Amino acid sequence: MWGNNDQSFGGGGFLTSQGYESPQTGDKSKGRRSQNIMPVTCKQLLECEEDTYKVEGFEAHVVTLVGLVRSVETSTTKVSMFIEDQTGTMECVNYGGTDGDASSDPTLLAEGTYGRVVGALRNPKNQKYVIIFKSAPVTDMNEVTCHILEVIQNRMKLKKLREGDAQKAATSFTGGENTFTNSMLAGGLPTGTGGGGSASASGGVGHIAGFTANQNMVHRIICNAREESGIHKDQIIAAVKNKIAQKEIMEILDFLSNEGHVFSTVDDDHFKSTDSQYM
Amino acid sequence: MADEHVSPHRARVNGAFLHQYHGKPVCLLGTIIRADGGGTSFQVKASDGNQINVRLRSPISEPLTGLVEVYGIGQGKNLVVADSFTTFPDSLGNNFEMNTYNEAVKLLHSVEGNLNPWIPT
Repeated sequence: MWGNNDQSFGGGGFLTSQGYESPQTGDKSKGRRSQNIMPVTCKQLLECEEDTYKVEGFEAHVVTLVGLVRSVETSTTKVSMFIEDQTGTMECVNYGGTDGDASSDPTLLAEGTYGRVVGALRNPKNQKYVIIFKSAPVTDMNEVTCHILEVIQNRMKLKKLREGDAQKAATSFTGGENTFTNSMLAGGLPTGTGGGGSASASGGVGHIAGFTANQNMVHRIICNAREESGIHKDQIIAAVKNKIAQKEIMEILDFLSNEGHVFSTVDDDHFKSTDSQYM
Repeated sequence: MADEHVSPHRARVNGAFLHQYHGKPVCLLGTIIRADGGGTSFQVKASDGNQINVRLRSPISEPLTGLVEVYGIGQGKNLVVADSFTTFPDSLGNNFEMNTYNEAVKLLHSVEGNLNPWIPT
């Protein structure tokens, strides 16, 4: 019958089924998802309630810890390093084990020294540990100071992002872009209908080349929408109230959806961005 | 995780903050000034320049120098009863910016609770 030893792909237009896999239903099915890495403390990981660590509602896909290597335990199946960072101790695991000769494994850190671990939180049967993607000794103690500060800054920044969401969508994450939105407003500025927006490019500030300031603003708002169903056009109108005329908003939405940057969800008035991190 | 791998939440302190943690777990990072005879205690210069005494539970045989991190319980304004400590080789200690670390310690104590995972609640 088909495909046993048959290497010929011609004939009736059928491909012999060699590994014709159905799409993975796991992580990849939702399309592109941005991955982030966050500096954390052991205590934050130990105390977080779910299996994933979240800060201000933002999920951390990958975490990084800096701490003292308290003990290293090797077995044939895995290597466990216990990292203590003054807030608590976290088990960090490298599966793959050793051949029995611990000294030949370059990823092992020395006990009693400071190390950095980059990995992901796992919580099977309520026993938390971090699976290690990368471990390295700390070669400069200033890295410890830096990590302390990064952990705090991470939370503050995310809290600020969350609070600034719908209200101040024009404010860039990286700051310093406030001024352009005011100067580009108030009539006269051609909208980017039909993809022609690049002519009035906002000086390269828009984070996707070719968007005008207004298009960028609307796109940003849609990107920040958290719900599964995206954001309703009335919410967009409210968020940019007085800055962009309603008619222009509709034109921008048309443009964005024609270009494939946004799509409609539960009905024609709900929009979601293809670039969003909140898939 | 077995119980032997549970550690207390220690506050990173300098001389100025030590008294706030009387009877509580602290972590003191500083440089050794001198070790007292008998090996049961030594003096550490904290990141803000204050001199802190460190009392050990069991004596040490070798003299210590350079950057050291002490883990123990704070007592009053200038004593730490140490459970353990870590010494660092000169290669790690020489480039360490103590002033920057001190600023970080001050910052730790000024940022409010839920934004700041470093201070024990």
